[in-house]
Amino acid sequence: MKKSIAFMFILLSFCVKAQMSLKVQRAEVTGKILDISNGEPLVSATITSPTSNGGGYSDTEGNFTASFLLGSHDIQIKLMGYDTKIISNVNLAEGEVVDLGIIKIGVQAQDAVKGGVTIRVKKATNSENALIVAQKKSVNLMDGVSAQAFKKAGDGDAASAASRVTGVSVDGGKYLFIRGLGDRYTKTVLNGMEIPGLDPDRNTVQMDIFPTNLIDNIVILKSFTPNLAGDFTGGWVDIQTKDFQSKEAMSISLSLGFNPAMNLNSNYLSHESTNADLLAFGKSSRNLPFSEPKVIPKSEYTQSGGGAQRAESNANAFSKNMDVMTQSSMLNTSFSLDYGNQYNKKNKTYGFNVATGYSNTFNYYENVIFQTYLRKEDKSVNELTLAEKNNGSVGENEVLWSTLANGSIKAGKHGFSTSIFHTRNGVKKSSKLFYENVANPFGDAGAKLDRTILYYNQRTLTNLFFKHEFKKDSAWKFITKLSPSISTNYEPDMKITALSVGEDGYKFNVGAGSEIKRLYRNLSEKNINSKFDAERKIFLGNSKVSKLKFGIAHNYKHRDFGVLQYVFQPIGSFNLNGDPNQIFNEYLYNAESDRGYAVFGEPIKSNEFVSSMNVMGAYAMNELPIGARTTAIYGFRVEKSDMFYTGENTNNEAYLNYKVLDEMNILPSASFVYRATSDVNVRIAASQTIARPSFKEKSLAQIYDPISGRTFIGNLDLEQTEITNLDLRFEKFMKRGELISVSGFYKHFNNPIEIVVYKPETPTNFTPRNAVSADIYGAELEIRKSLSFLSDKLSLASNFSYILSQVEITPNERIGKMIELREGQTLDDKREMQGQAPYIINVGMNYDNRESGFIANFSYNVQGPKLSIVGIGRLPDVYTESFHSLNLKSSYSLGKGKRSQVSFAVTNILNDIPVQVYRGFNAEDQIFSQRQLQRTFKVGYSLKIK
Amino acid sequence: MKNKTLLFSLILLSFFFTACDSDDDIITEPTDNANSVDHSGFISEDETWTSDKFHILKDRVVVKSGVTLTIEPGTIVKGEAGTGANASSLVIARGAKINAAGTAEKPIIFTSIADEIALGEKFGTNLDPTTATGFWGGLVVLGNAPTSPKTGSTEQIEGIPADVTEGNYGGPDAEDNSGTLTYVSIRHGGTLIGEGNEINGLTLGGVGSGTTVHHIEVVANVDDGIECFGGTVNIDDALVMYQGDDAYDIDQAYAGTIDNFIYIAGESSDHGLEIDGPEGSENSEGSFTLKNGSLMGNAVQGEFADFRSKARGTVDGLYFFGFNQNADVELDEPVVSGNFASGALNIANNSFNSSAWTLDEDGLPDGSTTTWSAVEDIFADKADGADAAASDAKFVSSGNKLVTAKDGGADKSEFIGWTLADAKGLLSDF
Repeated sequence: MKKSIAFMFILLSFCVKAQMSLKVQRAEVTGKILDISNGEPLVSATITSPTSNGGGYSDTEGNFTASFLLGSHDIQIKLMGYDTKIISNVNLAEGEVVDLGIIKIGVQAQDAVKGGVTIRVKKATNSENALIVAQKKSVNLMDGVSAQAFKKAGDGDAASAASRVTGVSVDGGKYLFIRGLGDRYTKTVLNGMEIPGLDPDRNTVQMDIFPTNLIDNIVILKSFTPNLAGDFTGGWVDIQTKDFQSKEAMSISLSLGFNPAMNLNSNYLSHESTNADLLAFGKSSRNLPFSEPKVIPKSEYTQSGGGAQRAESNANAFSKNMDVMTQSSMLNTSFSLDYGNQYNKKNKTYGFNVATGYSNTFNYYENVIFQTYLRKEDKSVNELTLAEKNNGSVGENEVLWSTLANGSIKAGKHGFSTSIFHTRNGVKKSSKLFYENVANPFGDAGAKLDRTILYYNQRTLTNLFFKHEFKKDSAWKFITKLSPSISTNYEPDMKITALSVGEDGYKFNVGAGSEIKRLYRNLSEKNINSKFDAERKIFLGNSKVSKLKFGIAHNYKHRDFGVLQYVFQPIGSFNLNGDPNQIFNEYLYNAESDRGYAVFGEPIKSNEFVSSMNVMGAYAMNELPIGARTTAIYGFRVEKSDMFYTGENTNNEAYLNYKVLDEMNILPSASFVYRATSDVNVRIAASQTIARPSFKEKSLAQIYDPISGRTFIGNLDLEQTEITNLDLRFEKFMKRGELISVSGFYKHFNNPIEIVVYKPETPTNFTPRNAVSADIYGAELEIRKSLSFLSDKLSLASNFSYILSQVEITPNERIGKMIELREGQTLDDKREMQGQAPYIINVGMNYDNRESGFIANFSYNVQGPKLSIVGIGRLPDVYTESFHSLNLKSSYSLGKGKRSQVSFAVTNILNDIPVQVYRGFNAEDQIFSQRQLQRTFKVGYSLKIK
Repeated sequence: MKNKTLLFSLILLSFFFTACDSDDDIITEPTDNANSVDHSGFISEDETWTSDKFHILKDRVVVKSGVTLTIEPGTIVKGEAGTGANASSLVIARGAKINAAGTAEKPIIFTSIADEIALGEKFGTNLDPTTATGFWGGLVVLGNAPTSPKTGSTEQIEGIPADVTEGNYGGPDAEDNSGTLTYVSIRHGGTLIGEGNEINGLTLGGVGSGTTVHHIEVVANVDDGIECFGGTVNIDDALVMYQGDDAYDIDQAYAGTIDNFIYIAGESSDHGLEIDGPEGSENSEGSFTLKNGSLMGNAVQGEFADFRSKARGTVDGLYFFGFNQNADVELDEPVVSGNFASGALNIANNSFNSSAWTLDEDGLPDGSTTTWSAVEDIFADKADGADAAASDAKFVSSGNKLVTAKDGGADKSEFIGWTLADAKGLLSDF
């Protein structure tokens, strides 16, 4: 009989006095834990007591030995996916070993265990160990990160939490790349249901809007099974919100963050705002000054019948503050509150949970750099030449708050749960940049501009979730889910002032790029996802069960996007002093003098679109045990998708609710899990999946992005991508949550979509196109290991991914590259895929001293340099360089019952700088963009009130 | 079971959001009104615009390759207001022809919808040319003549979306013929056509020498007056006034001649001449000629001329007057400076009128540290490491001089009778 000696869970009531006494009187409890349904031993169940520290684990044979303080205890047995079993009033006397005998647990445990038993239902998926168990039992290739892990690592939002998972990298702090595959191939769902994204440019969900205090765990499935929607390839990311508590629990936490370069900095840039900004309601003070999008022609002031007066009032309708304000930034603050409880009445169990969180973060980047480098027109020169540069400072204030409330009722065979989730995010950005056109033939060479940009972004997501579970009998189970959501993304009143700077002061010189602009962008998306799943267990005898699953699903998505732009231009000429406010305070158009800056603008049709999509799915699959050790999972899914587009381009081509996509796909999947031993799984999986173009891609839209200066051109001829996936995985589970897994995968893409330059002559116009094909080969290694040879309190969790990608370049790209090849340079037919990191490394080192209450975690994350922008013509390729992220999080629990916890964290210990570079043939790398992140320190306090 | 039925109906509910069937909407086609004809989108068959009606450009009107658009003498074309993709303009694509042969008696007018000009008139009176800019787009002619764009030998004209192939220009045919433009006056244009990109009054991209262009007036345009992107077309008798940026702008190794031209600066005008050279390695030997021009600056701001990136060509016999005393002739960078030294850029026999320039008590002009004792003081070779003395000496020895009275320049008689400049009495100083 093996003994487990590590203590994973610290539970309540550990008094300081007891800790200080040198010898503590303890006794042991032993037993064996079996699955109630098939009698198989269960590994990694935790055995704890709320009235004592210590505890134990079941080993691979289900046996356990747990150590507790002397006295009477309610022993709890927990395992993810199973009901928690509590054995009450177990008396431990000195020198005694209490044998609890065989304890059977199951999802539907009905029988009682000796000693007076209460059965409580709780899926403890938020522990790292429970997730590993889930991973072991999963029929998919599964990885995950639990609340426990992200608390340890100090992750503030879902994006950084998910970056702990094997093969996961985060792009721009928002989007998950799984196995280096971009957001196009990743599907993010909330509690298994589809939700709208918040980015006009992407098809997926921004992960940074989910604060970790609302998340129970994040599960990432890397292989497709027919019960999942078929449009993912890299990974299916399921953010599971907090479930209700098994007993009353309440906690609050507060934290303060300090970055020496960003917080309490008197140079911080902000702009005029109202208190509504503090709650991410900042749009209210930045609304369009007209009740509806208004057409204002430039010539308005010449119109008879009061045109001049109208021009004056239109110009004056806009708010007048265009400049940044220098003010001191505050400390980063965050606050969260959770409360949950469960009641049992008659035959019903009621549970609920309410959680809310708020955070306010300041970022200040001094000496931000954006540059353009070009290849020389002389093809014998390899070195890149500076064409234009921007540098300056950017102040950024981000407010994020979210609330989750859920409740559930369990009554006999029925379980009903519902939740409402609302998240709201406001980002206020104030930039002061100096632009210089050093020698750029694309613009006005020699031009210098002083550019002030004030920006606000308000995003919201509201999601309702209903689930009904009906377990008819031991064979049949039915689950129905319905999840409607609404999301909005507003960018109200982006204010841009660009004034030419010359030897003789400031000028409004249109040729040099001077402009004054007010821009409004709105995106809203509605989504209704519904699912019905049925599961039939077929008992094959010999305690083998075959599961037959089938179901239907429907998803409807509707997206509405629009841009409105108003431009101010001078009538007459004015002496400018460089202050962006001067024009609005002194020189707005005046009807009497018939001089001043007049406003004009109108909605531009090619910038707007309305799209919707219906996807209907149906599936059937079977989990079939073959022999003693193998399970086959096979089946297929049918998906019918229709996409509709309303919009027009600049050539008078217009469509009204035009069907742009009409596909019917049969997606087969087969996988085998071979349980070589009770601790070793070998998995092999093959499947067919798809990736659909986004609304914006499958459109005629021509959308100019004032932030990047690029124009996006939709492509109605775009086809969906079909992907063949092959996966092989070997996993070995060991005691105490230890794990080693090795995976290999191959993916073949037919018609992959790539965002490429429209044509070499227009290097700032981008469009999605189908490449012929692409292939990806990858290998992954994950190790979770206790470093008991050093200390039983040290453990290591690390993973490594290596990915080789190849995509055939399009003829267009070939032409664009060939004309500017350097002497001696050759062009391959294939290149790496855009945005695909060649390797990803995550290493985490944990120190966990439960007895003293001290926990520390060092985590390191890096990904290899990846191709971000495919160069064409004289524009070289842009690569995102590796960012070495090393972070420390530590906490110390103290006080009665260790209810209080103080924490200390340092992020970006290495003070690394995120940088993107131009990379030419045999040329020195040159900076494309760079900003200083600096190290951030954070202290926090949390209290478990109940 | 009741629960389940309820949930099923909820699911069914969500299926009702299924969108309806496709509906393909096609827009377009000229509409004939009482006294005007609306034009929109592509013109793919030969067409004639008659002078008995106003012709309204509703948006970007593009004459496709192989098609000829004829505009009768005396025709008035008006552009609708609009910016960006909504901007109105007339684009003659590469391979298409425009036949706009106006006469001094019946010039062809391109103006804004806001211009209350009547049919048969040469001028409206309600718009002030000193301020009324950017009310519509402009006239763009594209051809198949050699050009030196930043990459390759063809280019997309600025402001026309990348997916409109008719925006392409440049090619091998130096003698390419895009038709005829004579006695054409383009007024109040230059709206924001692309982002951060205002359209020029007359844009000539890769237009060949087979094209006939003479007697052209551009008034009150937001951006440049006339801009030549490469090409070989010759322009005679051109007049640009009150533009927001530069009057005559040359790029991408334009290799034609502009002869007998006038410039009248507005209060926010920048350079009289802004001249760039080849941008890429193709056709990089192209060299322009500017001669017999009269350029009138103003006392507030604006420069004589700016020679930038690798400019090559000849500027001969121009007369500059009315400019402020801080104006200069500037060489921006080493290659252009080298071109000047080698003669690839020849700036010769130009006269600069200094009679209005005043000196402070210290004997120096306002805000300047140089005196106007010699013509080289207005010459600024800014290239790093340039031999300033040698460069100045060459500027002087090339026959450039300060004058106090009219000396050479344009023959203004070509502009009498049909231009807005003449109607406003602005030619008296020329």
